[in-house]
Amino acid sequence: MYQLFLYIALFIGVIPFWVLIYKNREFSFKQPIVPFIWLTFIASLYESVGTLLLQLDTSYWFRFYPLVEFSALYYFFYRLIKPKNKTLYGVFLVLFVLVYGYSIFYWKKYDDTLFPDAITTTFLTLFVFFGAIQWVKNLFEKMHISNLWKNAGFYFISGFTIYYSSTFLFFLLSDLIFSSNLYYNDYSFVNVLATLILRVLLIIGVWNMNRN
Amino acid sequence: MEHESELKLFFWVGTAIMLGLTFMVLLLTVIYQKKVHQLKQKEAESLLKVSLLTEKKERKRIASDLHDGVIGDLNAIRNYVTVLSNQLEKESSSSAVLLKEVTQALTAMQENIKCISYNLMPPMLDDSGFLVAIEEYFKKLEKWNALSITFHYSPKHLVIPNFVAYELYRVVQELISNMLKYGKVENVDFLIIYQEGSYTISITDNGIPFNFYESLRNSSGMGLKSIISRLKQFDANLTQEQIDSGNKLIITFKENTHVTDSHS
Repeated sequence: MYQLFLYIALFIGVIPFWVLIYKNREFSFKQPIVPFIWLTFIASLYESVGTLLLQLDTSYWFRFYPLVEFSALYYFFYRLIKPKNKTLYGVFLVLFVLVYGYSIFYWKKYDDTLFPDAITTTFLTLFVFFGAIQWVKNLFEKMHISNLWKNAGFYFISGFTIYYSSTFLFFLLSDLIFSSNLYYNDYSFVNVLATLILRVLLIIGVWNMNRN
Repeated sequence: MEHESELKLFFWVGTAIMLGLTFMVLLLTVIYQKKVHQLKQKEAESLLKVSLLTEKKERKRIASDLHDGVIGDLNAIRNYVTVLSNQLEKESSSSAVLLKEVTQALTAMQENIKCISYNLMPPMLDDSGFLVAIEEYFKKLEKWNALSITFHYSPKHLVIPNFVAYELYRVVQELISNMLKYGKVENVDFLIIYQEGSYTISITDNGIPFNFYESLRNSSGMGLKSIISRLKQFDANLTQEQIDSGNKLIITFKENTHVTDSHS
């Protein structure tokens, strides 16, 4: 069951990108979500082809991934919300650089990949929640969206908040779980399921984007 | 490893709490959707009220212009033509006959314009009230169509509030117009009852049966929708009762109802 969901979650990651191409928006970087869709597409290809098939070492990829992930998320929230208080976003950027730098340092020093993941994911979760709350606040202030079910941003925000909230404790405790007698895959299944939900919501969101 | 069960519990409970927080945030968006829907409805109702009020003002203005301006001018022309016709008749001119026909055509034109003016804004509605205006309207209908309308009201000194009269008049006009156009109606029974602060208007016809609300859903025209819009102006309800043959519509509204600015 775990393997089945894992493969589905991996391969479904390419679909948002194909929907983007169908909508003629794959290079439309004015759309906040496009970099994240590209990232999801590349990650799906790398993890399915590189990891599963070619059995490549993924430790460098999983160290590099949080950097591009944060960049894509930062771009998404910054373009979507267009914040009045840009300083706060600047602070987040600086904090991430410090957090990421520390995660690389820890990885190099202790040759441990799980704890660095915990550090970066915790920060990303905080950032995503901050962005989501700002978006909801904007929603009530401007009342500019008449139908949320037809709004792409709603699906993206829902996907991100569901994914990062449900995997927060998994990444935070992954080191402990891995070193315990607990069956790791039971908990990793939360990540697989959350990834699947995120990617499905990305597909729906991209589908709801207007065509060129 | 020690404390494995605590770790398990912490993980699942923590994940559930985090997901709960997420769904609380998403619940806010559902609340937002409801709020937007309510705002849109209010906006639509407000626009409708303005539109109906503007229509009423325009009708009043055009009816007044037609009555005071056009009919007045036609009257003057008719008088001149009559004088000319009389002069030519004395001189035994053949043109006198032609002028008499012109006089008749002018008289017919005046009557037509009076009709248009009356239909746009019945003067009796403001002057004499709803009951007199609607009775007059029914008399005209019976004269122009093969239609018999029985009109009753109770109590004898019944008064329909002014702020309701105009909208109710238009509703009855639209309903009867539909009956004549689509229902092949020959008899209409129109009854108004006032009891304990509430008005009940019952309109029964012997025409082709139809379902009002189904027709409202399927219709692309504005007639039925305008009936509902006008009824909303004074919080009236329209229901349809099933009868053996024909149709029966019932309009009910309370005495202490409020309509935005019906007189200006």
